[in-house]
Amino acid sequence: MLSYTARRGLQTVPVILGVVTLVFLMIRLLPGDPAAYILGEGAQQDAIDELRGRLGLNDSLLVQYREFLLDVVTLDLGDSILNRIPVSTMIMDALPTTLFLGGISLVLGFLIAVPLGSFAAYFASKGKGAADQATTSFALAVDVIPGFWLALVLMLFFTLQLGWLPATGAVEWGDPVSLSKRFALPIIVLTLGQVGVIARVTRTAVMEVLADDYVRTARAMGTPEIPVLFRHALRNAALPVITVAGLSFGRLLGGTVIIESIFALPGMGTVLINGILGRDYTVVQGVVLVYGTIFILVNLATDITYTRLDPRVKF
Amino acid sequence: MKRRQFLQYGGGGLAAAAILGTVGCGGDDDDDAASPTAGTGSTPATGSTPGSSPDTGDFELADEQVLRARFYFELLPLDPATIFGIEQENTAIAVYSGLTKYNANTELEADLARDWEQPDDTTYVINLRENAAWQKDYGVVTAEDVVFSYNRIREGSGTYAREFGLIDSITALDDTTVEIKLSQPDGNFLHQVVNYHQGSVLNARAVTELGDDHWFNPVGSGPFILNDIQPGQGFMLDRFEDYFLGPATLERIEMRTVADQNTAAIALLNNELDVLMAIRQEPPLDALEGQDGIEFSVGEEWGISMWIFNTTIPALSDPRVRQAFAYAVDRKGAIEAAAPRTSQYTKNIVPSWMPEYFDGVPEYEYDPGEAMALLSAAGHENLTLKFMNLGNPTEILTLVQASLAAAGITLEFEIADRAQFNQRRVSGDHDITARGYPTANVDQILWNYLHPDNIVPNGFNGSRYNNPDVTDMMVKARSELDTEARMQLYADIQTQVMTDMPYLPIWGSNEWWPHRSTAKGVVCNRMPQGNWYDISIAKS
Repeated sequence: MLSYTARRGLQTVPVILGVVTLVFLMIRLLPGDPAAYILGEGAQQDAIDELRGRLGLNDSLLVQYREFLLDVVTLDLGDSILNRIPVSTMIMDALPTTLFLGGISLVLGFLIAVPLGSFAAYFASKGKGAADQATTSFALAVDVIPGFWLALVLMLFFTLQLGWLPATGAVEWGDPVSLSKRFALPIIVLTLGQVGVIARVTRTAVMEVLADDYVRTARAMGTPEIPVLFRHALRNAALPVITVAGLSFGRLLGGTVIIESIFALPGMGTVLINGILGRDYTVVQGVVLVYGTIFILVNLATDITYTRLDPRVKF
Repeated sequence: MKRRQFLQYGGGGLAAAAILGTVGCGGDDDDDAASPTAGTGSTPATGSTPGSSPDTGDFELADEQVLRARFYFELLPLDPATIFGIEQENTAIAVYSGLTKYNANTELEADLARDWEQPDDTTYVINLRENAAWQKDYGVVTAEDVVFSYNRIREGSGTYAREFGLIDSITALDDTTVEIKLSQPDGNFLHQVVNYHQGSVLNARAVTELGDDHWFNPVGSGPFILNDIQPGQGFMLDRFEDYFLGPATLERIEMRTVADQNTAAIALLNNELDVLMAIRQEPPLDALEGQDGIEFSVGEEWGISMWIFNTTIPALSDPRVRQAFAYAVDRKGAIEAAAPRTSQYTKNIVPSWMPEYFDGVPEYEYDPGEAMALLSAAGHENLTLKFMNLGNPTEILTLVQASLAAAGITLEFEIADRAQFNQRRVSGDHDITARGYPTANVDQILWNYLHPDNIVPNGFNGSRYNNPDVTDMMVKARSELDTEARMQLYADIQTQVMTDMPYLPIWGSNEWWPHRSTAKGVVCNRMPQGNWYDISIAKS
């Protein structure tokens, strides 16, 4: 297991390098000069050139890339072009918000979607079409509702109509009540965004397993339905579910970008959007690098989980 | 039940959300917030303004004087040489002072200047207040600080250097007297030293000592001190107790970053914010209008959104084609249908509230038949052109596109984000695009848009307009000190320009600052600037 983990870990290095390279190139291929942006319209060309020089933007792409890689290796992500704060500081300030938001949403999404999908499969296997359709329709509905729209609906209802939850405000880590209220709506939006996909995949996977002989055997031995469903069937249906959960984490991270912006949360998504709008190369590079690394690590964890769940799996 | 009542009571939430949802998470479609230069009205300042504390009016003050205001981007360096963006400028005016400033009516007033004299047409002798203190124990404002600040702009290559282009010399005659000599008379010069962009006065020692760190830790002489910047969350403006007009009533302004305008509207209704800076979309205004405890201040016609016709495009080099655009766009209809609050009809490149505005310019009422006739005469029937837009086209732009199509003009949208948009607009790399321009100085509009020296990329003359008669009149008008003769020159310029039509004034932009009724004294003027110093919080 250890050697497998180490091998898979090493395999992530070129992937991360690829991400780094893509990010570096993509932000520079976008039209729009950060120096001109910072100095504003009407800035004279020599001022723009001078700032470009100070930012190292007049160097060749190769030189800039080499510098960037060296900085990444030494964990120096540089300073923000716009506000001159070290990017690592900005990320460390913003990361807890995004990880908290994404982590809770992922776990909640999993806790809701897996039983939902399992019961839908159970109902379908028992010929209870109406119940299956209801759960499947719910999963489909929450999957297609745009997050930004749902966010506004929830704000109007829970913030304005009921007055229970805030739409904006500071994130106070030391105050659990305030923190819960502040994150409740964005977590609901992101969680529901996860539920649809995971529930539908779970349903399909569990339905296949429920038709297997060992399930019939378990039932014939008098095992109650709930243990059959969750102890026997779900366990063997877990691989595709975990695959999708791992992949949907990427979608979840993308969702945090929009949801943080709508709910005015000071997370990585907000930092990223402002960085893109301001052509803040260093910030965009740093944030996407962290996003990419998190995504790769989550998928590495998924692969490792496979081997734990099914020792037959070899890579 | 009317729609507004429906939104206000009962199950209106979902309906409102559906409406709001159509604009999604769009944030600000800040058409032209990255705007340039300082302003001026043309009414000369009245001289001195006695020091006074803010008027707390006929209401009981709340115990805690903290204003929660909407900010909507990261705070950028507060450097007067380069600052742009309405939210950034509104921060700077709270921190810095100029020699003059704009009041709530966008009229020029004395700021650091106590009074001034003009010994001749090209010389200003400005006497500074003697009690104006710098924040953070940097002493008092001196004439040398003014000299340092303005020479820094003049001798630099920043955005606003050209605004001081007429200055020959700035001299400190003593600690509180500054002499500014111009190369030629400028009836609007006092607008160039207003507390906006290049006119803000810096502390020479602080700028020298702190270097680049100064712009996020500035030492100003304004009513508030910038503190506690939290990227992505906002920052604080704390009351400066030694402000020369007396301390503000507000102890603190919490600038909270809320990018999305719909979220901001909900936060205002839910008492999470007290004032929303810069609401420019109709849906949040729909949701706020008529709600208890919500009031509005509007900076009306703060800028004319002008379509810039690139006259190097063969079709657009013909004035008949440009006039055809003016006839073909149903401006009144589009505004009424899609942006009745955030836009207003205009027929001139000069805002109607400026004293120099001339109402007798040629007017192009919607007439697709006339447009087609002009296009036919110019040999450009079935014209197709590209319009470079900042972000996705708004509803009003889509309506404009439809009305142009009725006259045989196909307008294709090119979508650009802020950085690309600015860069292409500055270089003039477009067929047609738009620009708004907040200023109270008519000369800034005319010179920046119409003078050949300012043809892109040297300035904002994206149309490449160069009419020697108009240029000559602009030079004369700026120097003319006789009011009647000046006004006639300005009227002639406007008439000629609206005939040549290098720019189409598509609509006037209105800046809405919704606020809770407990936030007293909130006024957004036509720059559009908030009057932070005058605001107070009443007991609810």
